[in-house]
Amino acid sequence: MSEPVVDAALPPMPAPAATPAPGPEPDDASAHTDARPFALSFSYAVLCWLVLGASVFAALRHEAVLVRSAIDPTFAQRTLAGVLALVLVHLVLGVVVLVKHARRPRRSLGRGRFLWLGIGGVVQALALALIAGLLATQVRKEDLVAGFGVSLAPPQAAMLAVANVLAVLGQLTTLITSISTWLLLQNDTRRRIWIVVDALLLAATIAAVIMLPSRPPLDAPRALGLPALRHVITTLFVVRLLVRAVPLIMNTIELGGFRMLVAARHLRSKKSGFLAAISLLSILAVTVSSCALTSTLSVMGGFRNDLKRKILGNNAHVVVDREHATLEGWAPLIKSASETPGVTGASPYVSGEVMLSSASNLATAVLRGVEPETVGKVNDLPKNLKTGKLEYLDHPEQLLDLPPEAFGGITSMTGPLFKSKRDSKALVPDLGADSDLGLAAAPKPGPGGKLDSPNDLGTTGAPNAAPSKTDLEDQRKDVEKRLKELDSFLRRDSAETNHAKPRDVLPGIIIGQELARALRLYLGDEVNVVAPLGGLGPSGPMPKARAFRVAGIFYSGMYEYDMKVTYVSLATAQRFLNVGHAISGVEIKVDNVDAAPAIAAQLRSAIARPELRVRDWQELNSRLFGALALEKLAMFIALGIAILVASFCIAGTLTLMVQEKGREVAILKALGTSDRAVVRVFVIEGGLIGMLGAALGLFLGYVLCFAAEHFGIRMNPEVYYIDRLPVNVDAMEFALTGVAAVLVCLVVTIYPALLASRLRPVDALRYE
Amino acid sequence: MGTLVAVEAVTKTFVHEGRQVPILNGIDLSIDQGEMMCVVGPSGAGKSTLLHLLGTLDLPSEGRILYDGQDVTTYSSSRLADFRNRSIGFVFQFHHLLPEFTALENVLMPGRIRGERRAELEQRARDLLVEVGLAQRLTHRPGELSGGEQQRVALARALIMNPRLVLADEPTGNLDTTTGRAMHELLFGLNQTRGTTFLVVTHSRELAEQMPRVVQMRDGRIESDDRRAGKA
Repeated sequence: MSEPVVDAALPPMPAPAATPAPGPEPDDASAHTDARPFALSFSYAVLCWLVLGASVFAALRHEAVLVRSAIDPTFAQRTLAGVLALVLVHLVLGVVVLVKHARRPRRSLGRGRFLWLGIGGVVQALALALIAGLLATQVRKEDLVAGFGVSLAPPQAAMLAVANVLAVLGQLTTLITSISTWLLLQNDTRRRIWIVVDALLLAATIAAVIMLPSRPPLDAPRALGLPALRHVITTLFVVRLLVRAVPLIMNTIELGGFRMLVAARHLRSKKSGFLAAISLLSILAVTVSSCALTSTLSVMGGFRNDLKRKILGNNAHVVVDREHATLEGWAPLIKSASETPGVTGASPYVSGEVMLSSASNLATAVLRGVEPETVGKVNDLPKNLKTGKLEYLDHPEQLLDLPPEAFGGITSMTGPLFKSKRDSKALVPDLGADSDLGLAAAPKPGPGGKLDSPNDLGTTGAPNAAPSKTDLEDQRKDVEKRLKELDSFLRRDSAETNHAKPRDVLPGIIIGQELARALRLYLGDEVNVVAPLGGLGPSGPMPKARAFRVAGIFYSGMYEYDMKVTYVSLATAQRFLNVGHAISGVEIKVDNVDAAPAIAAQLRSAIARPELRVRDWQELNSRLFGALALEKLAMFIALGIAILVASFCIAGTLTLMVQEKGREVAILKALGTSDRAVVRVFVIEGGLIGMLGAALGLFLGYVLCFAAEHFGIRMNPEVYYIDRLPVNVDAMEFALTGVAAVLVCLVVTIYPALLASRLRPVDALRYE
Repeated sequence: MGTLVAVEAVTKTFVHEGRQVPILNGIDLSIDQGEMMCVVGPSGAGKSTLLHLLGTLDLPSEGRILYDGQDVTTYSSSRLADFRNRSIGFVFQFHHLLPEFTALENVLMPGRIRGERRAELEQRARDLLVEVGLAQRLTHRPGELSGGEQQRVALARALIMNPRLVLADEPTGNLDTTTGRAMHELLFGLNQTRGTTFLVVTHSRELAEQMPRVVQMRDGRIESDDRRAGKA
């Protein structure tokens, strides 16, 4: 009876059956296996990985290789020779490994693994040779040059497919078996290999940090290869560093008294510690959730910062004004504001609601009268100007005689008139400035002179513009030629029919890019501005209209501003809005935006006019930032719940651990451990798991944010008004997330820890 | 020598599926300082339960257990833990070592629990391990030790705090005869040299015959209590 059982236990020896036996305890098993005779085989295992790298590279670049081979026959020959040499080495080594290990006695350690390694390698080498041969002999040059790729006759194609499958299977076999050969190495050999790998990694990291850029060069934002390589190397290095540091950290923890010692030892044990699947899973859960939390918060912080930057760029940091009224006698106000420490600029403004009408459209806007010479000190208007100049506000006569270069890029926004369907924001640089100017001025000779109310608008200009829009859309070359004719014709036409003088000197107005687009306005165009309550008629306030000339177009990066805000000179606005010499308020810029509330308070006392309001930017935008903060809090709570869920995982792990360690807890108690100490042991264990998870999560989150920040996740600016995902890594938020994660984990460990402390030693000791 | 422990009218009853199951029915026992005694009897006689009660791992249903006249059954759980730590050493049948710790660390454990510094303890622990014959096994984990070696580590651990009473529950129960005999000699030697009080629960006739005092138990009662003055 017993004979067959023994036979079943020792199955006849197709190689793989040998592997399970030494597999689980390589540490002990390898003790009596000398590694040296295996050197060749281990090198072969490494070579298999190199071949994998080479094949992946070849697969990625195969089209380029094929095409270049088609063009350059010597390149084809060289490539083929290289591939065949590699395959030959692979094949010879594979056969050697196969033969060498086949001769070893059955059931000797590692024989099966190496046999499979050899078989896989030989199969792969043969398949690769077949593939290379097929490609070299069967692929026609003409097909490649014509870009048809590889097309083979059916039998060859089938052969190629089979060869591919065999190559992949062979590769898989070699990879799996070569990984398992790692376990055959003795512990100190492995340690030595790791030392070499780590030393190389350290050298590579130093080299990468010194030589490789951390972000793509500004002129080639797509060249991500080198920075990515740098980050991969440094990340690998950090991971290895952490792995190396873990035993040291655990040793340090063990010094912290008996509870720490016991907790750390439990976590280090192979059966139920960090490396057990369930602990790994709970660490992973904490890692993923805290990573999600930090990266989400960073992105939200990025949006907030972007918004803040734009708001601060377009608005003053502190505004002094009067509720529902204008203020007089503001000169001393400006003076005392400028003298307040921390204030870098102060500028008066007048604002009022107006309507803008162009030949083609109508829009509401805020008209702001500003001092062109000081407005640059309180906001970014001069910097945001895409075309035009601030000085045109004071000297509108210059607008009549603009030099072609004054239009810069943005005037070519006439482009949309012709190609809007193809590319709405495309600029048309090949259209000369000449024709642009002509066309921009051409369709609207009427509005400037004739129109007094917006109702007439849109009827006059449109017929002129319409044919040019529809007829010329398809044939742009024709268009350019005909444009010039049209241009000169219209100029003559407008000069003769509508005005004695071709264009009036009109006060300048600076408008936002979106508004310009909506109204189809370009630099030098006329636009009608209507103030609803501007003039006083016999029966009360009456709308008041006036023509302005576009003196500039700005792009602030915020849709609302680009759509709603227009600037004119202070005096013009005061006249137009009928406020005399009064202003709406004073805008003030400070050197440190975070000190704005304090400076506002100082200003309040310096001005000493109780009827005036002094508000800082946070107060001015309190609703917006309040909403953002609330949103962030909600996100924090929602993702915090994710951490909580992850912490349940830890609680589960610990509960199981308590079950498993019940006997040990009983021993500890018999030796005189108090209930409280037992609780602490398990709380520390949970805390360590949580800390490890949180640390990994924060690290991962940081890597993610870093990558997103530097490599940029592109976003559609048409939708988000922002061209890449903004990321703001806030150390405080990271710290807070880490602390929250660890706290949550500590709290959930209390239950399993209490469970452990309630174990009665007698119960655990009595029943084995 | 004075009385170390006095057990007075101790009963222990377990509740099993709603029924009272008496394990100990009124035990009176007193153990003198430096005494070497063993408890024998058939399975289910209540030997282990008595041992657990003496070791304060469990509390009696009725009766008192006096150490130096102090009733330990009234102590709080943390005070009991401290008491066990300082005054009682355990050696269990299945040697119950902590698997994650080396032999030396296992021996150190009671002192570490107490909060003593490792440096001070370590010399004592090494000496003890040498004394039980394990000088070459200090850094081995329990899994790497034989059964007899493990039991000797457990003995060293029981002695590290210089307890007044060492309770051993079938210390040689799963050892072969030779190893068991060596263990017995070790126990007697320690009793001689250190004056430690030993209470050993055993099935081993051989050990029982060597003992100066043998308590026989049956059905939760003490059947006989023989002192053999000539021995030990």
